[in-house]
Amino acid sequence: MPSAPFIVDSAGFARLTARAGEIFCADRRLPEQVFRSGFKDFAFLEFDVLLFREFWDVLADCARSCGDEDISVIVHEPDPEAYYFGNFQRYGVLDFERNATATEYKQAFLAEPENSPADALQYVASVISWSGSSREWGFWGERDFGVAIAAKRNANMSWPEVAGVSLFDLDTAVESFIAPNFEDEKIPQEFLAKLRRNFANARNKCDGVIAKSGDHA
Amino acid sequence: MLLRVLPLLIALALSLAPKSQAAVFIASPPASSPLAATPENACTAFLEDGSEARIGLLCHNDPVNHTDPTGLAIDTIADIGFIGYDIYKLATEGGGQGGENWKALGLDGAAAAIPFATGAGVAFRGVKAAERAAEAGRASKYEDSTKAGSRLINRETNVTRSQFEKNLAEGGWQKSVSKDGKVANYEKDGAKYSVRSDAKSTSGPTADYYKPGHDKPDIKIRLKKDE
Repeated sequence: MPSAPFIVDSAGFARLTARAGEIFCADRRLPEQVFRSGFKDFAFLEFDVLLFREFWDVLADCARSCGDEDISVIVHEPDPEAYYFGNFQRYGVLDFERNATATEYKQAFLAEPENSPADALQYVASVISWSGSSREWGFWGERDFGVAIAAKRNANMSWPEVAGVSLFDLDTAVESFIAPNFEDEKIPQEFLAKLRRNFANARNKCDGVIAKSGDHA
Repeated sequence: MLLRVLPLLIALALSLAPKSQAAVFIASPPASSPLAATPENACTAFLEDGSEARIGLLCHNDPVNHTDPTGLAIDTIADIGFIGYDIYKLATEGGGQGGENWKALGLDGAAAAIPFATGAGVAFRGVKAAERAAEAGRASKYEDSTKAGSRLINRETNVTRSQFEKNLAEGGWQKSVSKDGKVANYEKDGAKYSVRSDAKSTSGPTADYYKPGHDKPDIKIRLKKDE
């Protein structure tokens, strides 16, 4: 089992969670605003796609355009320390070099802790963030709502165009990814209003690569 | 012999048309059924004889593994089953009252040519039988609910998580559970289901299906909440 991307020391855990704290409000959950101020141009993805190997190409592209040295992935639920370190002696935190491969990315998610194969991140991680060392961009995903949100500081940065990974506007995300997770696909008004208030500015502002409803990946 | 082969040939020939969504009924196979499931068949259509038709498919207790992503296989199998059943009824009962059995065969033949218009003959005999089976918890339904933009095929079902897991366990799938008990994985012959309850939203639990050798899910099954 490859262990390299997994953080096993407390100093590394503290360093990467602190860095992520400059981008995300890790104690918040959707529909609250999970990005720090200054992040904008929100775009939306299907949660599961961020666990696909082709998503590594998106991360690597972001890293190249922003000069990142590394890309970190933090599992916020289950708890990265109490659950992961407590049970498996490794934190729910991964740190990939910029030149890592899609296979290494995928293998890390599929890596099964000893005697607990269902605890591979692929299956058990439910709230995850992805970000680069430049702190210029980030992705926040929540499995229960089937969605991930991308944000960046610099409006001039373009979201990568990678085959099989489409970024969508909020309306499409609501209809296609979020609604199916609610009974009869009815999203509570309060949830929806808060989501729109916090993330609706993505519409028509994301460099022309955001697909509209009906476009397929 | 002709009686056995004819429906297969008809259905296979007619079910080549492109199709877009699936609706599948699954129920316990009657042992006395003339087309009962056999272990040798990966996914066998069967039909229960009776005063009113009750229809279904048995897929080795694995309702999704033996469907293809487009639903083509299931539809084809269903078409074969319906036509076979019509012919069986004709052979054992003749034309039936008012030529009912001949009409049913005609309808099923026509339905086989239409994507997912499976089983028109059975509908003719009375859809209430299927409804009653569903009410009695003996039939399960899987419907395509995939949305635009989704990379995963989504299927909505009236099967609960506990029923679903029971079926997998009885089908010989090996279970492993996460330390927090929220995720249960089932593996068999390289395929995998990852079943989880959702903690926050109000819909039911889900089961992600991985085909053998796939490292990403192919189908997301949206299970019904346990009562």
